[in-house]
Amino acid sequence: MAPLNMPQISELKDLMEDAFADLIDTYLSDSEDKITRLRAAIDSGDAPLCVELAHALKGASANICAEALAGLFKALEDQARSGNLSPMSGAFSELSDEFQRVKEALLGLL
Amino acid sequence: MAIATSVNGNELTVQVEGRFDFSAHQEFRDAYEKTEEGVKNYVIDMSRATYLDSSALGMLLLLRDHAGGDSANVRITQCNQDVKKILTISNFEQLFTIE
Amino acid sequence: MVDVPLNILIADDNKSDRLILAAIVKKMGHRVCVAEDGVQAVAQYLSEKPDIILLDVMMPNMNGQEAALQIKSSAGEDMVPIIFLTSLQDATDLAKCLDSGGDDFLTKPYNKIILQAKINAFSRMSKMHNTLQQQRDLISEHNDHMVHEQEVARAVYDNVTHSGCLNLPNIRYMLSPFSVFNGDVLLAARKPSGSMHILLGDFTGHGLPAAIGAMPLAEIFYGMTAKGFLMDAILREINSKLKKILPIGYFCCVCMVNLSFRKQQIEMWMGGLPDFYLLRHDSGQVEQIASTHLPLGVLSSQSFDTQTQRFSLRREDRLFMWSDGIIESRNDEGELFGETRLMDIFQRNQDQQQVFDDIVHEVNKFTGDSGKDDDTTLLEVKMVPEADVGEVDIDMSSGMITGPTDWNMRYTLRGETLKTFNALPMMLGILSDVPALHGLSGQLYTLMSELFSNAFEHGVLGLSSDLKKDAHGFAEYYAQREQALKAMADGWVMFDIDHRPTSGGGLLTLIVTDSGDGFDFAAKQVKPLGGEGYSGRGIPLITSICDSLEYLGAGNIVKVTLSWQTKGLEE
Repeated sequence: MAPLNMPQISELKDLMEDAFADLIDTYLSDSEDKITRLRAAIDSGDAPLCVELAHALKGASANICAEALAGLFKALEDQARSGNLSPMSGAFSELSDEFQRVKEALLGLL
Repeated sequence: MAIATSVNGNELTVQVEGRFDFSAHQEFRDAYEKTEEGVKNYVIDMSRATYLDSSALGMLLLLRDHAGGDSANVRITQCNQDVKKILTISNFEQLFTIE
Repeated sequence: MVDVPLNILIADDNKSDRLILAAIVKKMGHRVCVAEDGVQAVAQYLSEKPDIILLDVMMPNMNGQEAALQIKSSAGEDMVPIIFLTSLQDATDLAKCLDSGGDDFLTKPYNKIILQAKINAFSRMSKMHNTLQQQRDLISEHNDHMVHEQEVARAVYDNVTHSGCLNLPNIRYMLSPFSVFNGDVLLAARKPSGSMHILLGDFTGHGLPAAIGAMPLAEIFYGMTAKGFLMDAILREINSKLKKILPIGYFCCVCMVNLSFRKQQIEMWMGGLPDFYLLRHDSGQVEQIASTHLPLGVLSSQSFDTQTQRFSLRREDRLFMWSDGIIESRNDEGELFGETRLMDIFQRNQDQQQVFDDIVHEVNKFTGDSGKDDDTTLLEVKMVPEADVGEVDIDMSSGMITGPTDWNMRYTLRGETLKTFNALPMMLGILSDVPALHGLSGQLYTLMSELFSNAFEHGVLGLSSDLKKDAHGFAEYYAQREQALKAMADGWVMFDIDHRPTSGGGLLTLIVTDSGDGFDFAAKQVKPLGGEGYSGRGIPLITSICDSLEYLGAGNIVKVTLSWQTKGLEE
């Protein structure tokens, strides 16, 4: 599966015009920051914080047309809601990989 | 409240149905103002009127004026008891033929 | 692009989401302000007054639902559409957004077309809401203005149609106006003679149009009554005035009563009002009195008929009068109160004192909360001794110090004028120009009217006063009077009035001569004050007012004198 929904992202690019680069930059730095905090939250077993961060990342990724990534954050959010954080570390590496693919794809559009 | 009209020769019959009150104002007026020339006699058929109030009395006076005032020929027919009573209280038989 | 740019608040803690939304909204041509959490969203709402708010559900500091509640509560009546931004999928969660005050939601990823459609839809709703609100405010402003004007007009109206002497102890009344102005009028005034005029009127419709007609009616009623005009002249005047000023189809149902305490009778003219009830004190019987005329303002002066009905009343007999609002009161089912219910109150009531209250109570109970749709007026008039209602207090032209005191006049009424014209107010006016006679105008009126009716009815028309001894004769008397009046062709009544000053006072001499055959006055001795002689001619009344009374000639001439002193003038 492609990291980005291409027809959607090109529509978004048209919409944003000159601000597209700024949007990508904002998304990436915001997400990297949140992902770091998510990692820490998983390690410290802070389930509510995990839910909050995963939820925010899910929404932002969906809006940036990264459907697969959004799906991974959603799974993580659901998992965190159940309160059982133990299987999350495994899922997290898959998620980091996917984020890298999205990042490369986005930067490739600039 | 509903108003129906019919013309027979030079006689216009206006039938009033239901409560004859202010809400009938415009319709009643149209009933006799919008008929063609040549109408000389007027019949107000009250067989289906259930009630009339003082504004209806006023409308009858307007019709009488339209029909020629003191020389008007206006008959009010088939009144039920309530309607008859109100016409009697007001002594309208002095101005109209009430049948 | 849109016609009128809206101000749209975007509240989302996620910066990239904010950027995308802002881009979509700006593309549509609207203005954007942003907030990063719920607290900021509320603050921005208060300072920026946005037209539409796009509100993220999950935000730090204050979540979207709480922010929505605060915004909606401070918005009051203003419409602020809130669209929740959410990546929630669950139907229950989405429904929760709407329950917490949201008007709609938009799910992530944002769809430009859907967002545009929603903004447009809410923009239309807001516009309609604002228009409605403005129109409502305008109507309410107009209404306030109108109510104010009506209140001022009401004050003027009340001054003109004041209740006169309705406060006298023989009268009880209830007026319930359906709007600020009343379509019903209730007027009462004492006549110079001591009798009382009462008028109950019910104009077509109610409110302002009816009130406008009531003003000249009241002016004429009070003005003419105070000057001593009789009922027929007053009714004729009111009818011709109303005929002139009211549009066709508008009229006034009226009952006018002349209540004479001395003669213990009422004279009534009724046009267009429901039957009135006369409750006899002794027997408890109820007599119904029906309207015999068309309402006022319908007929031209030529066809107007002032024919009255007369009833003799004993003390404590009560006359009940009402506008049709009483019998036409409706209950919740739309049923009319009706005459049967009204008559029932009279039939079952043992205490006549209580009937009035019972009618009020029963009608109110019957209509309940259904609200009245017509003015309702109720009036009870009781026959009492004149002493119970006190002296007539009529303010004739006041403040005149000097006036004519040495003069003589002769005034003769002939033919048709004698039949139809009431010359008393005019003559009373001349007499009242004598300063000392102001205060006596009541007695003078009685004096003049008794002398005139004796001269006219017994003298010119030749009616026997003996007839008036009982109720039957009374009716007969008036029937004969009617006949004689029609037959009369060339009768006359002449007044010679002479006033001259005396030391410290004055002397008024009245000589009334009629064209009749006179009568054998020598056979009937005058017994002053309460005597039986000259039965029915009101002589005891006359002698109680003046100093001397004598018949001259064939008995067709009567001469009375009345002297007054500046000091110790007796009222």
